[in-house]
Amino acid sequence: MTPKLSPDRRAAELNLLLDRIGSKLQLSTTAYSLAEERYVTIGKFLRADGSLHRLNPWIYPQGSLRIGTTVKPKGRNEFDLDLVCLFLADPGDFPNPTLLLEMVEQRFKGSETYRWMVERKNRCIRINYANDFHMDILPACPLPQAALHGEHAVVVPDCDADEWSHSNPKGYALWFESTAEEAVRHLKRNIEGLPAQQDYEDLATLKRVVQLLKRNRDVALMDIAERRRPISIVLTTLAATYYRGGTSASDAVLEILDGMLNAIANAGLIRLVVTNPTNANEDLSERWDADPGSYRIFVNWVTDFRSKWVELLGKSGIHNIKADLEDMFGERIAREIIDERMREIDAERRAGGLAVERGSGLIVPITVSSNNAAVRRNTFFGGGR
Amino acid sequence: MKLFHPQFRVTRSTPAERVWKGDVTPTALSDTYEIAIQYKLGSQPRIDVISPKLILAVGADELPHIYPDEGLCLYYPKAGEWHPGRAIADYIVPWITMWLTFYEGWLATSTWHGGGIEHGPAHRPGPLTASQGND
Repeated sequence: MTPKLSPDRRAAELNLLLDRIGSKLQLSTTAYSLAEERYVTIGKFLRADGSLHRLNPWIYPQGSLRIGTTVKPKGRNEFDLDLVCLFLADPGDFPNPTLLLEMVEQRFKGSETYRWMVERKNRCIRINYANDFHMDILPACPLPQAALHGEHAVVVPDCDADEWSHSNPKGYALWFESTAEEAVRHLKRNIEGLPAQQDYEDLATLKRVVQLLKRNRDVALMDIAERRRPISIVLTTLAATYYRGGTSASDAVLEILDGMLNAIANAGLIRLVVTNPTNANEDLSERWDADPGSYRIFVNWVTDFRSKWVELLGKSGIHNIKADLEDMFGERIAREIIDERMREIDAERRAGGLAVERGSGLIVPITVSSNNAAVRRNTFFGGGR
Repeated sequence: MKLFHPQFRVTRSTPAERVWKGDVTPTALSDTYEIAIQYKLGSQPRIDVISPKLILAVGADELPHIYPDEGLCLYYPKAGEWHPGRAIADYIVPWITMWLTFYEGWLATSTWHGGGIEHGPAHRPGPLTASQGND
């Protein structure tokens, strides 16, 4: 049956569910504090007297940890957390970039605490903490550039290629935040005519959308090799680019998917190119060249997600919506948020806080001024047929 | 009824019986249900969902909180939760909304979150006795 209610009320309720899905996917506040504690400790350790002391290493979070868009990897219990370790060194001081990585690895291996947790990767040192998460530490040296947020630009070792790679994780995070903020300001000025006051809430919508995109990618493309799925930084960049500043996550998902589809169409026979906003020379989507099939995978995924999203927006019946959310984000998480919502409603009912709205039959909170019929105490009875 | 729930229209009115029909959308994301409330003097009201047809949750054999004759089972008669001194608009209609909410929740997750007493097929309570019905 088509819903007859105002779209705003439907959107508000759907956004509540989406918000809770996002909350369940992200690194919990406890885990976040723990991660912070741990990388601060690592930083102190690296700075302490020893081989790296004179380079004054400083650790800070990057990627989804920094931006606030962490999503638990599907099928695993561990988060991947990304950190930068900045060394005050001239890259030219190192005969080859791999040496920096080796020095960091050796420093960790020299410690009773860390030696068993250390794992060397192509660009980073991974520290494995059992059960919670692992932290990937990217060693970097400052190399300011004349580009957006270029004062934070760095070079990082690429061991496979044995060269330095340009990067700017801090700059990227600043770009993400300022792009979102500008979208919100723009919307407020033009539509609401309000002064552009920055609210913590303002970035929350875009962050939720990024989480939902990443999660749907993980669910829908579960059977596809991870290296063929669109990478998170590409999705994050596209989302921030096409975000229009609204506070409704359900609307923002559609706007962003439409933005992506438009860009794909405009790219025509050539593929869409997603460059790093802080480094025009860096093509974040370069994998699509080496593996053109993976571009197809990306395009099909966006197309499918968009059409499913439109369907979801028009659906009614909590059970039908749950089925769609399950399909898009996973069975357990969809079931959990509905169960929680139902428990909430029942608790409010038993506390005497519910009424039924005149004319529609909608459940609403009781207010002193309304003339809505209160929901009285009852006990559902009967065992069915 | 008109005051609280104007969407319910009287479709039958005799000295001994009233029937109301109307649409209820329990939550902003819910379906809209057409409900019939039949009240015969001296009996408990009977509530039916006319459309859409009630369906079963995955793995369930029967609907929860339903009388054998398929009317919704909204309250525990022995607890005196409803009697003719209480307006149907006041008491019964909000319970219909709650029933539908929990019904959709049950369809979604196979759990009925509205609580209640469940012990085999219930018999629809007989005519009211003199001891019931003083508020």
